[in-house]
Amino acid sequence: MSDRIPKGKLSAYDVQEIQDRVREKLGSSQKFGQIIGTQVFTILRQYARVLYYPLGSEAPWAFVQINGDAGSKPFVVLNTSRPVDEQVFGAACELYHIWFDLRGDIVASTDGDQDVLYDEATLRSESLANRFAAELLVEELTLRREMGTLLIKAKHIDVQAVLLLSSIFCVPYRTMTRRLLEIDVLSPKRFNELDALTPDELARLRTRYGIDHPKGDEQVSLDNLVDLSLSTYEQDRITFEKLEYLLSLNKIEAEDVGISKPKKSRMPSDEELDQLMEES
Amino acid sequence: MGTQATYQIGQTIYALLKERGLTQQSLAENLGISKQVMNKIINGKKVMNVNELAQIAQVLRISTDALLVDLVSPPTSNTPVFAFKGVAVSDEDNEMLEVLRTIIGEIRLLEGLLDE
Repeated sequence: MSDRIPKGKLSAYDVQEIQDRVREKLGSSQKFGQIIGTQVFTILRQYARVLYYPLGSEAPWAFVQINGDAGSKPFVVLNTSRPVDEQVFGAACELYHIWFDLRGDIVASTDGDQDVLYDEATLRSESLANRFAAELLVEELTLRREMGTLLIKAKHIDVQAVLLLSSIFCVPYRTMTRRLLEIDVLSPKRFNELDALTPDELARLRTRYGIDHPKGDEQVSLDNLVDLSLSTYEQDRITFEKLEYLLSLNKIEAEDVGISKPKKSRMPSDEELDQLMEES
Repeated sequence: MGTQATYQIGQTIYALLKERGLTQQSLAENLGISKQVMNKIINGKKVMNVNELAQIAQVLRISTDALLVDLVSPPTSNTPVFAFKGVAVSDEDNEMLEVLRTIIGEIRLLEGLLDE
């Protein structure tokens, strides 16, 4: 996992509770025994408003904006600059926060001192979310079944096998190595050896073995922002200039959605003027 | 280390800055503190003493009570907050958060317009 993700120890009771929760969620969504992978985006969409946005390869993988309103869906942002497997993992973590952990954490600082950014409760929450995501995306029975299908023997598991399993389950390499340790497929010694490989070494090995690792596609998709913008424009509630601005947030232009610039701009309404005054 | 209380005060300050069209930088300069410390206050990561609270209230031209008012309310504020998978550590990260806050704000605004 990213070095920007905090680590924390969980008790056996915590792990048992997470596994129960994963079973419950896989059962209720009729996904038990399936490889979840990118299906997690569809699941997430049922519970959150998802914004896909390229935040840069060094930025957080994903985050959720939780609202105080009971009943309203939270916003989840997925960083499309990151590889797809990290987006998948990030989405699964946010599902944990939405389902089980709707408390208002905020982590934002400019001083780079990561040690002071997390209080104990936040650290624990992230550890629980990480474990939940790993269990959801790489459920033990499903993993063992795939290993059987691929004739991967626990005793002889090597980096190629771990890379292949990571690709099949669409999870980061380090999530898979940790998962194999958690279910006693890897010994701690073997885990440390496999976990010590650097990202560059892993990239070279993927190339060598022909194992796919989809990069982030820098996609921009902002829930229903475009539709809302067009609807309000069509109802003359916003100006063409405002429409252009809103569409620019989605990295598109009015022409992309079949709207041409009106020959004569109309005057903004009183409401828009009030709003502009408030914003300025 | 911040607390829920310092976070709420930070959010109140942030909202007042926006309302008054002021920047964090200008408030920091008025208080004679660095932008980094200001950022910690806004994000609830710095516990302030009474003097600092009074200074901020003075610059924002409100009473210190107004800064603390949310603390006595039940924790059902509609103020949205972000929780991360990862840690925002740089100025770029914080700028990016502003863009996302803007996007989410615009979505809510448009929905409000259509609901009228």
